[in-house]
Amino acid sequence: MKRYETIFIADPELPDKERSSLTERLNELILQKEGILLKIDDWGQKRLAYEINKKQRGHYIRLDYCGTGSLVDEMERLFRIDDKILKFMTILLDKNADVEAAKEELAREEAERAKYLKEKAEANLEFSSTSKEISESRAAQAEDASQGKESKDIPDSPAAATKSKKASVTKEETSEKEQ
Amino acid sequence: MAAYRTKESKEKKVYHRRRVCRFCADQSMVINYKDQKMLKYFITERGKIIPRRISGTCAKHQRLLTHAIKRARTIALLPFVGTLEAN
Repeated sequence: MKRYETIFIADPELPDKERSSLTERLNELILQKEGILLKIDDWGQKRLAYEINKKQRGHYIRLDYCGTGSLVDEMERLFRIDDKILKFMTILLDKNADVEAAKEELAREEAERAKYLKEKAEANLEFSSTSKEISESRAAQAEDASQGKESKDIPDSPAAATKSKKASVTKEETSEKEQ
Repeated sequence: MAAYRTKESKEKKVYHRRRVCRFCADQSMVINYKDQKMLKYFITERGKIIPRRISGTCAKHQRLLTHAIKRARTIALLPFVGTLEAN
């Protein structure tokens, strides 16, 4: 059994129902030809790099399956007949595919991706909370600094030098806090 | 080898900077025809494949790269001619 990957571009104006029926038909075809469908990857609408049949956009769908050459022939014949398919491409991924191994690999990839997404979400949460804290502390600092300045400026305003000193002190404080 | 090269470059007054293959330097980078963002670095604005002598990619990876770019072109992820944005 060989492992193939087929990408086809469906008409972007095709309603979702028809598209799902199309993928169902393909699934049936694969089963009929004793193939095994591993994955359907729906990329959604994408802008095409060049016009195909006067269309700027296309709906990309990727099929990952194991099967024989006759299955690919049949599938490509159907694609050619169907004018809702703008373009298609089949690539041989593995000449001697081990179906079970491929399935396991896919499952592992999926699990890893889920884990990655979860971690990312958690990291984002942490990040947002820390950034919130930082911004809050900064706001508090700014308030303190402005209050301090005002209170000090009002009683003895003569020396500009002291002002600049104060400014530098506040700067240092903020930098320390940031660190 | 390096000394020889610098001598030669001085004589001919050729400016060249030996670039390293990005795929050899970073093993985590995988050449995949579906990854158009990565492939975009290796084509010109006009959509031509950038030659090895300019991009510095090693022979093995350039071979895989051209293959990937050509696949991406057939499935309209990359243009045959022209820019990605213009059309």
